[in-house]
Amino acid sequence: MKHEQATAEIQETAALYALGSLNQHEMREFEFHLGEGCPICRAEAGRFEKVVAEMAMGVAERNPPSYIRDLLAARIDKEPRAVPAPVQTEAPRSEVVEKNVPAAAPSLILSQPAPDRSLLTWFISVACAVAAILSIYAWRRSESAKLGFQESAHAAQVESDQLRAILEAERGRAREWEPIFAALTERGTKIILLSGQAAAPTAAAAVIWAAGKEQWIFSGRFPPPPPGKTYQLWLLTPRVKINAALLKTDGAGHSFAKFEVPQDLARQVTQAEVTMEPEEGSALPSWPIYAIGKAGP
Amino acid sequence: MEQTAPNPEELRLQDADLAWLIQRSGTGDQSALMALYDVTSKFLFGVVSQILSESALAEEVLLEVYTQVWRQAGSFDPARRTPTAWLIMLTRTMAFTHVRSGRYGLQRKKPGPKTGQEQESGPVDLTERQLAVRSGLQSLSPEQHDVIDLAYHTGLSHNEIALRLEQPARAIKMRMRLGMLKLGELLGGTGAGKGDGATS
Repeated sequence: MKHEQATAEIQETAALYALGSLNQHEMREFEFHLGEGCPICRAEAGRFEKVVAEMAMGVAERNPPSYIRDLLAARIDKEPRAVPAPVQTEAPRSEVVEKNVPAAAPSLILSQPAPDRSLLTWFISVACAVAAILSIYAWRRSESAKLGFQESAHAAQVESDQLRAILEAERGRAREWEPIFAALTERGTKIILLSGQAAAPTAAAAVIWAAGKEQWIFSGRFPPPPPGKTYQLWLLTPRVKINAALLKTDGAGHSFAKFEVPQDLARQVTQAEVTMEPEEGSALPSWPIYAIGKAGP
Repeated sequence: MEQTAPNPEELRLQDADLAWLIQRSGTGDQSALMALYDVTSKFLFGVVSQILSESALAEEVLLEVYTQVWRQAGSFDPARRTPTAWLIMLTRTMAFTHVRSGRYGLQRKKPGPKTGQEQESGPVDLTERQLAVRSGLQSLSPEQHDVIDLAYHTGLSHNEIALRLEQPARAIKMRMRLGMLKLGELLGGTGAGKGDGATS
């Protein structure tokens, strides 16, 4: 049904719709009506949406993290074509009805001679059959749409869970980068770059020492260790090998650790090594060395 | 010759640009969507953050908003809504849907006495438009202001607002209508829907 003028009730519904204060049932009903193409309600909804948009203009802008843009790019890459919403692509129902029913139809029907009884019975039977077929068709479409919605909802849930996992991983990385950046801006920070050895040629890591904060940071990537084993970091001075940290790796082999070293020994460190040890760690490094790096002068 | 998305730096803050980007996105132009993201994400992230206090969830919703823009851009009708209003409605709807779903066990952000940049600490430079919004809200009766403020910031339904304020639902709806009509009149002269985009 299309309205002919904007009543207080229509304005009320449109205002609440724009503010998001209709309950779900009312909102769906109003959106369906808007989809029917009622110009009065569309105009009222548009008018109040502009007011809400104006209110939103007062909001303080915030920079989203840069990885959101990367995630969006990756996501739409999987959906190469945008699909128009069905509501907008279908002709409004009321217009279809109006086009299919000529204005003169009632008078034409009235001017026809009265049908005889058998013809009337036949007509009623046909009408009932058509109605039944239409009902079945509508029911099947509704069931099919329901199934489609359920599948879409499930897919969206799975996608959302995956997204949350990716976001969590990204947040973890961001947390790791904070102390690294902080250390890199400190005066007197030293970096030992470790390169993979024959046992793990693809391994790479860095040990960062922020002397001012007496803080050591390790970040690296290694092949995932076998069950019951872990990587261990050693710092070497001319006299001792310091057991610096046990290195936990994630599924991708990434490892991050913050640790402390006695200040008097810290200044004597000349080299860093990573070995593979039992899960509980070792007092002395075993062989082979997986990554090694020398401290600069 | 096919058009390519403009460089975000060159974009002017006009609804026509946003409409063009949305429509290009609707044809499957990924660069258009990314350009739209570049010019609107700071603003829409502000809108989402105004509703959802948890930063992680706000980020998730922002990503979902642009995913929906990508999916629904083909149905965007500039004759029916300005692109700014379309983006804001979509953003607010998605944010409130997350709040209502309760999946994350979050509380709605409590509405404060102030809006937008007023929430920032310290002195801020308010634009003419922001000042007009503030002035418009202050010119409402306290009853109208309260219901619109609650609805705008929390997405509570009229029934929920009626319960919270212990007022008849009928009165709540009437105050919302009258308040929104008044705001519309007051903000009409500030350029509501007259072309300024939600761009940074």
